[in-house]
Formats: sequence, C-alpha cells, structure tokens
Amino acid sequence: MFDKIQFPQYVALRLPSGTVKVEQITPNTLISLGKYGSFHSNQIIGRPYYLTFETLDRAEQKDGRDLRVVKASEIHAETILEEAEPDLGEDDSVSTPNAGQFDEYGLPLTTDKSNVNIIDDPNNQKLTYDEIEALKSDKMSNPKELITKIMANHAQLDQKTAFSLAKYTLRKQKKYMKRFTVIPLDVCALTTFLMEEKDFTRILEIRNETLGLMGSWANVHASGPALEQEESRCRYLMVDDTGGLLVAAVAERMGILHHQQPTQSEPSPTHPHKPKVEGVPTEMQDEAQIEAPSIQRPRRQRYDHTLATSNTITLVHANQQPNLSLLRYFAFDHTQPPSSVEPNPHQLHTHLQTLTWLQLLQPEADSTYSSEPPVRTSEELSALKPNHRSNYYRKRRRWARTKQVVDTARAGGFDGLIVATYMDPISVLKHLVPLLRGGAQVVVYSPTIEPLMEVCDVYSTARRTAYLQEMRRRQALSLDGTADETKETSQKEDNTGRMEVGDEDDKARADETRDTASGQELPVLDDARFPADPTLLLTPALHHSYARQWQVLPGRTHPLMTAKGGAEGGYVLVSTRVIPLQGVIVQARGKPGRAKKRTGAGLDQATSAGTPIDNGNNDNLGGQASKRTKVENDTAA
Amino acid sequence: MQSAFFNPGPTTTEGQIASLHLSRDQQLPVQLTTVASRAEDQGYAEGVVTNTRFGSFPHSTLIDIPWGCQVLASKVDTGTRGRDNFTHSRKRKANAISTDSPTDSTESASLKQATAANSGFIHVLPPTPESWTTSLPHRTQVVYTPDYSYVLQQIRAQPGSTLIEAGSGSGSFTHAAARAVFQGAPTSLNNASKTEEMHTAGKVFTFEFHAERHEKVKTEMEEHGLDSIVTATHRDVYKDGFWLTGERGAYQSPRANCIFLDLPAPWEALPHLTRQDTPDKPSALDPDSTAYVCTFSPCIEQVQRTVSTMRRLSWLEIEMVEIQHKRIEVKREYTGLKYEGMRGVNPVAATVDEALERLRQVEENAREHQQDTRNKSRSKNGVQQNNSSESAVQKHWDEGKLIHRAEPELKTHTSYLVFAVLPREWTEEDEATARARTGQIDGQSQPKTGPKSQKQRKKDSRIRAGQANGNVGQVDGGLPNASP
Repeated sequence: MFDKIQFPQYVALRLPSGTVKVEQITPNTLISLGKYGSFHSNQIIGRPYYLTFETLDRAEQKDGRDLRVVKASEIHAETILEEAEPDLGEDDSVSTPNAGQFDEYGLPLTTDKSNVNIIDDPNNQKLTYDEIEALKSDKMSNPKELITKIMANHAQLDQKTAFSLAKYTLRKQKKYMKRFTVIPLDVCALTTFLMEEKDFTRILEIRNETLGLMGSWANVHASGPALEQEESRCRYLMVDDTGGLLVAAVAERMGILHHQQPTQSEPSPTHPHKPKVEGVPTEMQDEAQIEAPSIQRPRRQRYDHTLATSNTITLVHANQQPNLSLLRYFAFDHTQPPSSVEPNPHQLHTHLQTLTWLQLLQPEADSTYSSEPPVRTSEELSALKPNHRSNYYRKRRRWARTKQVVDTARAGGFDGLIVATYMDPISVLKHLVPLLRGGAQVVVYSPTIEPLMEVCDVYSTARRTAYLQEMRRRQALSLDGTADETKETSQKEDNTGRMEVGDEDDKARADETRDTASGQELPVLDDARFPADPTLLLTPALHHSYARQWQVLPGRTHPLMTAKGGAEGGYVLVSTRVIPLQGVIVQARGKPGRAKKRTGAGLDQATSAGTPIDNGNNDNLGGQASKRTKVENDTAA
Repeated sequence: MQSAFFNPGPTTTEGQIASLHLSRDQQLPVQLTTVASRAEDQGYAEGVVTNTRFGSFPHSTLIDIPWGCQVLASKVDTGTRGRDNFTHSRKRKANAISTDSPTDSTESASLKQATAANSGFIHVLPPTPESWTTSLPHRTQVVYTPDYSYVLQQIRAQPGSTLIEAGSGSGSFTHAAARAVFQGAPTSLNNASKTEEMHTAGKVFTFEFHAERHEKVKTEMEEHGLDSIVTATHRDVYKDGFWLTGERGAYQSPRANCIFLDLPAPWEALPHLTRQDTPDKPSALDPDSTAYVCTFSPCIEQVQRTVSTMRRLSWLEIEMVEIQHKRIEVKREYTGLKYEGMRGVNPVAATVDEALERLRQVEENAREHQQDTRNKSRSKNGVQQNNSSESAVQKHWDEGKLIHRAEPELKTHTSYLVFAVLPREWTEEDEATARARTGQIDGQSQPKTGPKSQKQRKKDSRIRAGQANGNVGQVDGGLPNASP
C-alpha cells in the first residue's frame, strides 16, 4: 500500500527544521514548502517513500528535473566522518571525554577549550543581513555553499567546542537547506503529526505508544478470510472521541484501513472484500428482486451494500453523526456512501458500522430505525421518475443498513471493546460490557487518571464482593419471602451500617425482583452504589506507557532535552469480560456474619442442585484477596 | 481449525490452549484435553486435572463451556496419586479435600464426575499473546507487552507483512508478531502454491541459534496452532544471515519488510539485511516495500554501535527510544480512628477535629481515671468495639479515599529500542521510468481525488444535469430510464 508515492494519497513532508507538513498528492500541482522552496508533485509521484529530496538550483536543473534524491550516505556523511575522526578537525577541540586521550590518572583528557571565552556578540557574524539575503536570493548558489560562507565568516568559530559547533552547523542547515523527506501517512505518522503540529487535545492527547498498547491489550487482529459455516468474529465495539484516530488505529491492525488501489491488470472487483454472507436481511434480497424487472439493458454492476459480519468495527457515538473526520487522510468519508458505480469502494464502508447511543439503547425512539419506508411494487417503481426511484432505493438501503447495524449490535457477542471518550467511562461500560462475549478484552483510554480510577473502583474486588452479598441477601429475601420474617430481621441486623439506611427501599426492591429472580439471569441491582454490574469484568489493571526519545550521536548520546508534556501518554485501563456463575441462587443459611461457613453450606447445596453458585469471599482476582483466600483455604484444611 | 489465539470459537474445545486466570498477575496456560497422554497427567479419577492454589480443576469441567466462564474447583483426590511415585505439586495437597472412596472411582473405567469444592474458582480465558507473555516459561529475557506493542506498531507489522525475528528467545514477541501479521489461514495449501501464498498471507520467520530454545519455540508454535504463520529456523544469523533454504539448497529470500533484532550484537546481523542481491543470495528484504527494523538492546554501548552500523549501511530515520511503562494500582485508603484495629488502614485521626476529639477524650478518661481508679477498662472497651476482623473492611468498602500509586516493583529499564528504515532501492533507471510515467499523467485530466464533499457532489450533479440537457436518465449513478 505504501510501496510508492501515489495519488490521491496524503503524505507527510518533513522539512529540515523538523516540522511536518501533510499534503494530498495530486498530479500537476506545485507544492509549496514555504521558505524551503516548492516542487512539482509529478516529481515525486511513483517514487519510493522515505527518500529525501533536495530542490535543485536553476543551474543544476536539467530535463525538467528540479529535485534530486539525497543519498543516505550524504545524509549521514557528517556523523560518519565525526565517528572516524573523534578529534573533529582540530587537535584538541573537544571539551567532552575524548576516546583517544587520557591524563596521567588514566582518566579521559578534557581540553582547556571550553565555552569560557565565548561571548555572545552580535558582531561575531561578519556577513550583514543584507549580504546573507543577497546570497539566499542568488538562485545560482547552493545552500551548502551559503552555510559554508556564513560559517567561515563567524569570528569565533574556532572557539567553539564540538558541541556548540555541531549545534551551530545543525541550526544553519535547518535554516537554509532546501530538503524534504516524504513519509507515508499511516496512523503512526498521522498521530505524530497531530501531536506535534496540530491541536493535540483534539485527539485526547493520545500517543503512538498508547495506541500500540491499546491495540495489543484489546487483542485487535484481522479475522482472515471468511471460511464457510463459521460464526462471525473479530468484531470490535468502539467509542471514539478522537475524531476517528482510534478507529483508524484499530482498522489498521485489522487490515481494513488502507485502501488498496486496484492495479490495472486485474479486473476491478465489485465486492473484493467478502462474498455475500448468509443471514443478510431479506429486505436486501427483496430489493434486488424488485430491481430486476426494471433492468432492460446491461448496466454496470451495483456496489454491494452487504455489510460485513466479520472483521468489523461498530462505533457508538453520542451525536447524530459520528466524528470521523481524520479518516479522510485514509481516503474514507463516512458521510459519503460509495456511488453505485464505484468500482473499488473503501473497505470501511462495509466494515465500519456506526450507530448512536439512542439507536443502541432505545431503537424505537430513533426515527431512522423505527420508520421503515414503505415497500413499493415494481409497477409503482417503473412509473416513478428515475430520481424518485433512486431516492426510494436510497431510503430503503439506509433503513436496511441501520436496521442491520442496530440489530447486530444489540445482539452483542463482540470480541473487544475499545473506548477513548470524554464521557464518563462507567456509563459507557455499564451499557457496552454486557454486549461482549466471554473472554473479550476491554480497553479504555483516558488522558487523565481520575475517570479510570473510578472505573477500577466500580469493578474492584471489594465492591464485587459487596454486590454478591447484596444480591444473595435480596435473593434470600425474595425466596423466603415474608414467611420467614424473623430470619429477615436477623439478616438485617447482620448487615450493619449503611445497608440499614435504605431498608424500606430494599424491601420494595426485593419484592420487585422476586418475579424476575425465578429466571436464569440475576437482575442488575438498581442501586447507586453499583453503577455497573461488577461481576462482568475481571479486576481492571491500569497501564501507563511513555516513549522517551533519545539522541544518538558519537559522543553525544542523551535523552532529548525537551518533550511534549500534558497527558504524557495518558492511561489505559485493561480488563476482561467474564461470565459469572449463575443459576440457582442459594439462600443465605448458616450463621450469619460468618462468611466462610455460609459459603461452605451454600456450596454443598449448590452442588446437590447441580448448579454451582458464585463465591464472593473466595475472590481470587486481586492480589490481596487471593492471599486472603489462601489463608482461608489453609485454615480450612 | 484455526489457532485459539486468533479464533477461539464460542466455546472451549478439546485440544485448544486456554489461559486459566488465577489472579491479575497469574495466568496458567493449559492445553485442554480429557485424554491423559503425558505421564504427569496420569492417575486422576477425573482424567486430566490442573492443580492450582485455588484448587484442582479437572479438564472435563473446563471443556465445552463458553469462554470467559467462571469455574469452581472440584474435589479431586491428589493424595492417592501422590503415593505412586509422583513428585510434583504435592504441596498443593492441602487445597484438595479428600473424598471418601477414592479407590473405587479410580478403578471404574469411565471418568469420575467432578464435584465442586469450596477451595476457589478460576476463569477460563481464550489465550492472547498478552496472557502468554505473563505466563510463559522463561528461557531468556522476555519482551513484554509495552515494548512489543510499540515495536510492532513502529515497524509497521500489519496484516500481510512479512516479519523477521532473531532470536526467538522465550517466544513472547513471536506470538505478538504472529497476531500482528496474521491475515489468513493458509492451512489447506499444497506445496506448489506455498511459496506464492507465503508472501501474501503474513508470515513470521523466527531465527534462534540456541538449539534447545529453537526446539521449544517450534513445538510451542505447533501446539498453539501458529505453525502455519511462524517458521522457526535454527540458525546463527550473525554468520549465516536470514535466508531460507529453498529447493536443492538454494537460498531463498524471506522478502521481509519488518525486522526485529533481539540479539546481543545487532551490528553483526545488519550486514545481512541489505538491498544488494548477489548471484546466489538474493536480498532478504522485500524489494517492493520499505523495510523497517528495530533492535532491542539493554546497553547504551550496544545502541551506539548499532546506530553507527546502520548509518554506514544507509538506514534512514534512525531513532532511539526507551519505553517507560508502569502499572498503576488503585485502591481505597482508610484513614481514621473508626478503622482502628482493621488491617491495611492508617489508624490515625483523619482530621484535626478527630484528633482533638480523641485527645479530649483521653484527657477526660485520665481525669475520670484519677477520680475513679476502678474504672480501668473503659478506654479499652472503646477500642474493642471497633476491633473486628476482615469483614469490617468489606463493611467499609464504599468509604475511604480513592488513591493510586505505581506498582511496588517497577521495571525501570527493559531495553533501548533503535528504529530505522531502509527505503526501496531507487536507481537512475527507475527514476527515468517514473519520469516517463508521470509525463503521461500530465496529459490526463485530473483524476478523482478521494471522496468528494456533499457540496461538491451536488455541484457536480448540477453540472452533469446541465450537460445532459433534460436527459435526466443519466443522473445519479446512471440508472436507465425504464420508459422509452
């Protein structure tokens, strides 16, 4: 995909100053690089990436070439030279430890030359501003010569230490060399660009190392080609407030981000990604049948709107439309469904499926989902004006797509959840975690730690234990009912503290749950202390990763002096969706308050009933808790 | 069947590898099977049993359940078995509760039905490179998730890439790399098309010079169903490079575009990774794509030497980073006199007011004590009221202050990562051809430049409508006009 520079790809152009410019390559255009000159796009189209070009002076131009490829040996020339001669030109001009020279104690010799005599004097440079400007505007001269001239005219150049000389040379090169390097604009390059050149907060200050970490922990990978009779897989559920950057990163890992340009030899396939899948809503097929009679002459094959069922991203968004503006760098515009004649539409059109929170949680309230456009007969259709007919098809397609997306999303079974949002992550997890299959990874990014700390707390071992106890207590209430009033009161006495506060409410709720509790599933507690079901996730882990950049130069290796601050990589919460044991809810028997004995009794009962129950006290998820369990086990034995 | 790493399927099945989740830092990779084929699996009434500190888990309770399920330990007799010359894991005996008649069930031909024990539970999770990394048998220094996730991203290991890894080490990176490049499952390939398919389907070529480690990685790949993606080779890459042995011993290029060198001396391997073809040895790199390399070295001297070699070998975009990763622990901190006597709390006054109150009370008590010396045990009683067992912590789970701190043991340095890029070879002839081709573009009309905006589309269609001059049939996707 990035084997050579192609249009209409976006590319990153790195300038000598280190700044990066993102440009879309279109043929026959002049791309301006500001003070570093300009060049014709045709001069780089078809060339490999990562080449450094230098704009040629008029004197050097021939055959219409105004660019020259700078060889790697030329780029590294100075450093290689420096390595070969550690003395750097002069005999003892290095103030740093010198490999070749040692004093009588065997310590590296430092020279007496230092910056002690260097005076910051504006008159050091003997060339005047006008003279330099004249040199610069002289098209026949070469920037390298210009730098040499400027340096030769520096009064204190010989006073400079190796460090300051190197720095000085570099500064002049940055200022005058008319070079640029073409870098492919993949997710890595785009993230770096947005971090360094653009409004970093717009992408939630998410960095490359964090994107990599999230992708790995979320276990994002490609599904591979679909095999027959297989259930769908590699379906990832996402919430993304980074303008589509996270979606792009995930899609890149799944191999569906970069648009494959068809080569001229192969015939353009209509749906190259995936053959039609079973289980497509019948509406789509009906539609195809309706269309059939109206075709009277051969026409171009329509774009296949069938949504992919594997290797997909389902994005839930808070606004009417998702913000996926950054995907335009990858030739994808979600607002623009591919035209029916588009020979090679972007894979994301079928693999990226978006829906709003309303469509996910209350689909009946959403007009697109709930109001199906009336189906028309073929007679009606042929009587319509063509633009009305295409309108009809468009509406039908839109509705069918929405319905399919919403229905499959609500059916759940996703293989991973990846979240980066301004919203409260707990509210997101509350609704989305139940849609994951067991063993699916959950990854939540936040530039600040506080929201994730709260998530950790909601899914903590202690809260889970309390939740299960509360659940059991209510279950006991609902099973025993009012028949065993005395028991209930003893229970309440046992559950001291805050549990007593909402006694009346609890009783009312217990009555409510009585009906539902007879089923297999436990009701989710309607309790502010349990904002999400803590039994559905393993105890989360919080990660923080930061890539520290170094400079590696002969004798001058050290970490970079400055770096971007802010979130500094942010924080990543990782957890796994699990399926807690459910079924017969055991009555809390035995001596109340003695948790160990109670669970033992409960277990025996469960075993005899053939369905094991959850054991809150033997929670072996957190480190501390497991130690406790161990102790309990030992004492029991 | 596809590897459980890529497609575990809806339920656990016989022969798959599963990751048994004990705690956050403790996962146990297990090959699920009901048939005890190995010596150490023999002797259980329930078939194959995995013993953990949370009890014993017969595999019959782990197979054919949905992934992610919580499974209770079972009552398994490990004691009887221990007498039959078994030396391993006898310390786990304490976890098992002895059953009443173990001998009877051992003699019965069918497997004993497992019964639940109250020693604990585990979760059965599908294997991932991450869980494998935390649980794998250490043979060498392991490349951990923060490092390999960054490396794989930076060397652009994507579905369909061809990746070289040297050396294989403990296989942590190998698993992650296999997932990154995985694109398809070339399982039903005949040999003829294998070489063709090799380059399109995403491959990992892993090299290891240590014979034993190589064998282990090779076996692991087969056990994990990754051998169709990962080719393990026993080779000293310093000396012999990265070529594959094709037919009749001819050198064959792996055509790699991502390279990861976890070697003590990467500079000795780098000369084998050039663009130059020699008559008998083709370049190990893919001539049609950019090559990305990463070296993984713990010492700065190694980095300097590597970078210096890279410069001489024309690698570009040389960068060095170190990944600083930490895991953060979140917990509730309890400070206050009311938590006195509980474990893991700060039994000091939470506020100045509370301190004042306590001090006043002490003063008062002292005064009372002076007045009435018989009233000795009052203050003690006060403390004892708060003094309770651990269940008290559970009672207060919603209180305290939410705090976070770094994990107690930090990995402050793993290794330095050096990244570099080798562009495709670009000769004067290539330049001439490219120039000839771009010359053709000059003549063409402006090609389509990506998706158009809504506005632009409307404008276009208006223009088209104008050109068609009333012939509406041509508008919008060329739908033919049905009525002539």
